[in-house]
Amino acid sequence: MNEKIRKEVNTLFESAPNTKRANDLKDEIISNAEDKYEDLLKQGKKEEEAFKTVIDEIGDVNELVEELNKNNPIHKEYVGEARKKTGLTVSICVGLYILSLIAVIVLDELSMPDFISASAFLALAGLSTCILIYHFMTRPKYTKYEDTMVEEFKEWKGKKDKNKELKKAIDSIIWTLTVIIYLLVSFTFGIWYISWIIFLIATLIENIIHLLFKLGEE
Amino acid sequence: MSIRADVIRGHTETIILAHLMKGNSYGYEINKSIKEKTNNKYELNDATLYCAFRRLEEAGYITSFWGEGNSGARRRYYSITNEGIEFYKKNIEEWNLTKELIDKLI
Repeated sequence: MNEKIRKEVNTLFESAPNTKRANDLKDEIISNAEDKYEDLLKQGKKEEEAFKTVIDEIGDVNELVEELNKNNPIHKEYVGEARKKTGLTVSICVGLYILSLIAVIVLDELSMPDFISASAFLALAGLSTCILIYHFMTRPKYTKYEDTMVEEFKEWKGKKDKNKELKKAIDSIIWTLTVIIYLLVSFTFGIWYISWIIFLIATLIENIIHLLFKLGEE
Repeated sequence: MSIRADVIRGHTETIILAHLMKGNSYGYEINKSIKEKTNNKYELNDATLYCAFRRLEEAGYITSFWGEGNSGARRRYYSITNEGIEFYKKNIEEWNLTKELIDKLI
């Protein structure tokens, strides 16, 4: 019978948001309805009749549902802002890619040495790649918009993930930059025989950064 | 003769506070006592009762906490705050004044 009351109350609150407030209110209504139901049975009412009375007397819950919905602001502004930021970042990066191609064509027309146009191309394209990687890896994954335990857990997990994401972003940037510098230096000075050492240096830098992260976490 | 429910409804919050002045309580108990005190002539609709609870809680006149219910389900109890006591006293004064005036007028 208790299940029947619970089911009925859930139906009444069908259009309510799935928040802690809403669940608390439902639990409250259910426990009171159960008490009333037991009392009615003690007074000698039949089960069906008691159930009907209990449900009828809950009355019109529209106002309650409305209030629950009003108190559940899904952070529209936040989502909008994040989207704007992504839009701006992607536009700038696409612009940089196009610019890098234009630079190659223009520098070639000015009959500049090859290494200069190559450098310009790699610098612009590399910068753009770095910005893109950084933006998407550090973008917050989850923002709390409901005051519930589950949401808090998700947010906490999101924060933990964010640290990981940041590490990944930094790694990507280090390696992209390494390749750019390697090619630039090698082309410019023709020191292929020794320039590969930059990869060892990059590994060293990466490990130092990871170490700093670990120290920071503790 | 019927009861002017609309007049009573305006005092829902004061009625709830009056009950909580005597100690902590929960929704069904409050409504049951209203029914008993009025010899089954008046009873609050559940939805009205919960709306009033929310309003009172938001205004800081009552606070709620969870306790054990009969069937093992959790039950929400309410208790009146100091602000709530002040608000209750003010409402009683206002009502007495209104009652006096109406008595003189009709």
